[in-house]
Amino acid sequence: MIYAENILICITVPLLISILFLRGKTRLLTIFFLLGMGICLLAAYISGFAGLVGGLGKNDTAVFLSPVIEECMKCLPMFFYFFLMNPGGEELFLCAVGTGAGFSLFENVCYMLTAGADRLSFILIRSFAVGTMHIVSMLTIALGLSFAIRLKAVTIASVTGAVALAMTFHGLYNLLVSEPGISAEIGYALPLLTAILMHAIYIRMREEGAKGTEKQ
Amino acid sequence: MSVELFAIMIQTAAMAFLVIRTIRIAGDSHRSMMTVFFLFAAISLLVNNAYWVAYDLLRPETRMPFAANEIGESASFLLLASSLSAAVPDSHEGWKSELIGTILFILASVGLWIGWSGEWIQDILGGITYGYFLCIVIRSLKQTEALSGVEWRLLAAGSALLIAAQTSIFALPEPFKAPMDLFCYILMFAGMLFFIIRGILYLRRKEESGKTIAMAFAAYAWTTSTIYMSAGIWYASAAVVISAPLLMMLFAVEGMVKRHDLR
Repeated sequence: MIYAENILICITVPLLISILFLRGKTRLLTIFFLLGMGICLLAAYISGFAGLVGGLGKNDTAVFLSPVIEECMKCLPMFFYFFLMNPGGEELFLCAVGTGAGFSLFENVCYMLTAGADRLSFILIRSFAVGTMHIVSMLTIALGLSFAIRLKAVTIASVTGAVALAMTFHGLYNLLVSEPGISAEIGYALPLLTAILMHAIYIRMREEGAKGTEKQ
Repeated sequence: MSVELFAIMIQTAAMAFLVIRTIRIAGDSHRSMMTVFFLFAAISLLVNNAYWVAYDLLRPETRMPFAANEIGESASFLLLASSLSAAVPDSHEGWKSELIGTILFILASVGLWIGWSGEWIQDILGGITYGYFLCIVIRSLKQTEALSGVEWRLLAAGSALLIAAQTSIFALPEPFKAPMDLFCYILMFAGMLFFIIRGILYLRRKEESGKTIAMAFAAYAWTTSTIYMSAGIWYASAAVVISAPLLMMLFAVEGMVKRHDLR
């Protein structure tokens, strides 16, 4: 038993205090980072419960249920923020990165306490693969929402499409790494490669946004 | 490797080509609504198929209890419907009888899917999104006058006959099931061929963009319905054939972008 709630309190309290001294985008990022950690704990409860009710084992819960539950939970703070505050693209990306990073950080901390931190290969996988995957899936939703905002097409289809894409990507990763061998190697590489691709798209979008501002 | 898996892999290759080409089209169109939705749909289909291939390779002969890719598949229908709506906006011309027919077809199809698989929730949720996509396809076909009056009547009769034949298989005695099954497959594949050939002709003749896109999406919708109603070698064949409507949709979207018929 790792007392995940106690760990959450231990990590979040200093960050909560720090919010008092932060302003602007830094504060925004920190808030969503904290939310991401809280969402991680809640998602773990719900996934575990759903697995028990569905009669699925730990492995099957991780492959079939966790992607859907975790992505739904992760996107809630962003959607709440979006529909309440109507932020721009930059703020959406900050929200996505913060939530994804907070989620993956707390998940990694809990895993290390459970499995130990002595094996470097395990640590590298947790950080470069799993950790990156949570950020990439949130960025997928943010990218979809960002495009929908630009096209003035924030509809059920566009929002559902973005979330579903994130869920399928997460599900694909969990499936690939669930069995040892070449599939696991592909799975571990997938999030980092996707993150590099998304970074290129993000840079391009910022450049085009800057050109659009110059023309005006 | 099973025949179905091989067919899905061919389909996945077609989808990968679709995504790569669509990224370029989206850039050329200055990211119009139609192309962005189409791109997201294409990526969704590709990731969904990649999931299927990975699952079949890692867990062969094991049925999925529930999977994220089913949500992805449903989302792809919504995204394709949005893309088609942007390409062929509603002209508010009446299509009440076609809408009622489509809804009846979807309800009957969902009933059949549940009868075959027993998966109520997945089939109802999938039916809602597929049904919405099919409604947009039918509206587009009607409002672009892509089908003649005779063809509409043939489509209605063929769809009704297909549903009746598929439903009767549940009640027929064993010796009659296989011939009726074969009849259903002939009907479905004939419909597939009709839409694909008509779509190819529209593309070659450089018909009006709206008609061509509507026909291409209709070919995809009918082939998807065929896949859902098929098993074994028929399923594998339809899964390979769907590559044609996928490419038709791509070329139709590309044609619309090149002619600057963007909405």
